[in-house]
Amino acid sequence: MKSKTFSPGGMHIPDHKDLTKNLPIEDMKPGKDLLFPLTQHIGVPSEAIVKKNDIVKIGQVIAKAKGNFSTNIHSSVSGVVKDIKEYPHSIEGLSMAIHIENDFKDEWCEEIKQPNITTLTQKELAKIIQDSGIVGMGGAQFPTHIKLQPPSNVKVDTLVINGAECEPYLTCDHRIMLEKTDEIIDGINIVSSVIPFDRVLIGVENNKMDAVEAINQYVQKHKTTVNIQAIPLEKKYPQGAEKNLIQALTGRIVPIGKLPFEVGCIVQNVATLKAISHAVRMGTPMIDRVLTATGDCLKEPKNIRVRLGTLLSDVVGYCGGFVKEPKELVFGGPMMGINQRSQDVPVLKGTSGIIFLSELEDLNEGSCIRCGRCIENCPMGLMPYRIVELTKNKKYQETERYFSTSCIECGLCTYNCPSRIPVLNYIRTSKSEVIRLRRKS
Amino acid sequence: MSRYVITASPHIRNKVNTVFLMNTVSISLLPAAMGGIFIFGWKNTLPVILVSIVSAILSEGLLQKMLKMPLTWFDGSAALTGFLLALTCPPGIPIWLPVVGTIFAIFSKQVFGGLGQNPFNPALIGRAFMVLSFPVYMTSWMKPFSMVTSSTPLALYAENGGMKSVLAFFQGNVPAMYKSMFLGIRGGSIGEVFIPGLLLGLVVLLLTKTIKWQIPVSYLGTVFLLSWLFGMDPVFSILSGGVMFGAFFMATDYVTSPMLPKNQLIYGFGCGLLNVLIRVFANMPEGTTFAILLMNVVTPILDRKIKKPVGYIVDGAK
Ligand code: SF4
Ligand code: SF4
Repeated sequence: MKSKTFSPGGMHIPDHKDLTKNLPIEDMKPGKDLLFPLTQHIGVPSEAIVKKNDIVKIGQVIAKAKGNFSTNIHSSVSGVVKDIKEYPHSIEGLSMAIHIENDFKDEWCEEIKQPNITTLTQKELAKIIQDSGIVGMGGAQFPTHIKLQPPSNVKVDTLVINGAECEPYLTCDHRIMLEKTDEIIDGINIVSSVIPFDRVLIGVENNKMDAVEAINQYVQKHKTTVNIQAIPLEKKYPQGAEKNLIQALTGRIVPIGKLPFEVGCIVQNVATLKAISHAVRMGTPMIDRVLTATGDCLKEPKNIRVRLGTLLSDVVGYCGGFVKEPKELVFGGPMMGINQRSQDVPVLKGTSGIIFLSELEDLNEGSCIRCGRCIENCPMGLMPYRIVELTKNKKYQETERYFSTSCIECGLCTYNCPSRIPVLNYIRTSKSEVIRLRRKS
Repeated sequence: MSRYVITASPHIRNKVNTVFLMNTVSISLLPAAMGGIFIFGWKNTLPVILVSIVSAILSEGLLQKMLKMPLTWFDGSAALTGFLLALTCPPGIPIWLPVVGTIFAIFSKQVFGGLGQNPFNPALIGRAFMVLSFPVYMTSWMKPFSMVTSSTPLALYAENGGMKSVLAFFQGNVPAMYKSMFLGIRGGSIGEVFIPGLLLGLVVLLLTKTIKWQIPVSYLGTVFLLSWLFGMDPVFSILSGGVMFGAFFMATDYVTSPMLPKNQLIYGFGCGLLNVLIRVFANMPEGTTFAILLMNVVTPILDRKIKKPVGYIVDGAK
């Protein structure tokens, strides 16, 4: 099968996936202290419903969703609430978090029972997903139940599943597709039982052909009511970006400023589908996730299932410590991930990778030599260097003529700039200024 | 516990940086340069090249010091300017001439704010300055493999009445003329004569994705077709003078050429058109330098075009 892709732009980046791609997922036992930030999704922070010294069990709700754009948070261990206060947070810097001390008894909350579900409505499924605290596990942490409730005036016909894993270093989705094929397909069946899709397309970069085969063989063996197909994609970053993935798989182009619904698609990550399967079949909420701990500094890079809330220092210990002093610590992939200041931060729902890098990127900004590389590789077809020029001259509003707000922040422009101009930083500035000015008027 | 550095994403960079790109171009010039050194003798060529490179680097450093700009004299761009300029000089010119030329070239870049801001290709501005100020030196050509001055085929063509005199020079043997033109057994600038070297350099530039094919192809293609339309020998036209050198190494300069591939095709066409027109209508055998400099002026106009992004919808269509 010929690999599909999007155009224009995009490029292959040295992926360093060999470090972990053949390592089966290991189960890591949780440590003594765990932190549960109240912000683990885009939207309103959840509301803590436990107090200091409360005893909690695995799967127990410790923070409740506040409004529709919010989700529940569950304890991933049994133990006692030590404190609820501001702790370091990977994305927010500081955030309210619940500190739980593990009692190592691993007792499950009694309320968690295998539900007896035969048929579900769209509403019921959305409720289960929200109550189970499921958010997009690819990194964006967008509440999944919202994505699964398309507005009534649009016709959605395709479920697009992101198994591209185009970020360098990360291999957790690859391993999930290989080892948990059944759970992913089950998740798909559940979702398509409430939304009548014509087809389900799973996009996988062709450096994971084993995953493509595993899925397609599984689907052939187990008849599914909906038509499911894994499709190889070219190794080209950012193949997994929502709009690019839709284009690669369906040929449809999401118009500027619009959502995938507009072209009849819903996009979900493979790990998210696995979580949906767990929630519906076994009633287990989101208490753990698979992530890739890697980088040139870790002694033993691994794919591991980690309880949410686990501190990074525990993960480092589990991976045998360091062979090199890390300079930089990234949550997520190296292209779009977020730096962490220390190892005192916990694993979150969207933490797909923890990467320890010994080399800091070259930050010596030179002047633009007008090489055109940023234009050539931009997956949104923008002219990043112009946005930089205008932003430097504080002409923020003019950057809109160059569609600065369409930037998906994939980072390729900065990655490629031979003059080491942090192109994306300038674009971020212009975007937030444009939005600020829009609000004002 | 240790504290790690915080930067905004992305956290990795492509290894290719400005220094790498500049040096790649310099390396791709080596085959043509070595051809010239072999053909005209090292004594007439090597000093010109070395002095030119050194003086370009020093001028850049000094000017940046004086203008209180950040020092970037070792980023490979000044060295490249010096190298390019030397290769467009006739062999055996007095050694002070490239010094003057490079100072002017670097000056023309720094007054506009340095690398990236200069509207004109520095090496070509330097060369234009030399041609206009010291025409005698810049047009006294040396015969290959000897020290006697001669004329270039193009000069023969322009001054003595066309192809006949060129062919007379080769005793009427057309294949022999092509062969010697191709191998660089002719009068000309140091770097422009050895065509196999230039082609090899182009291959290096294309394979390393340093430049795109659009400018060289549309430039040479235009020269070929137009010369043919004007009744000239098209093969002779692209082999003679500095057309290939200019199309591969001068017109492709990032700073002074357009960025979008479509505009690059237009730009290459413009260079070719002007080049032929200068050859045909102006009283100048060579046209490459001024053709490209004129097109440098057009670049900002071409670059004004705004590219439509993915998912763009024409107003009112939806
Ligand atoms: S970060 Fe934005 S501007 Fe830069 S390449 Fe990606 S989409 Fe284009
Ligand atoms: S990649 Fe950097 S140097 Fe090249 S055009 Fe873009 S901003 Fe300028």
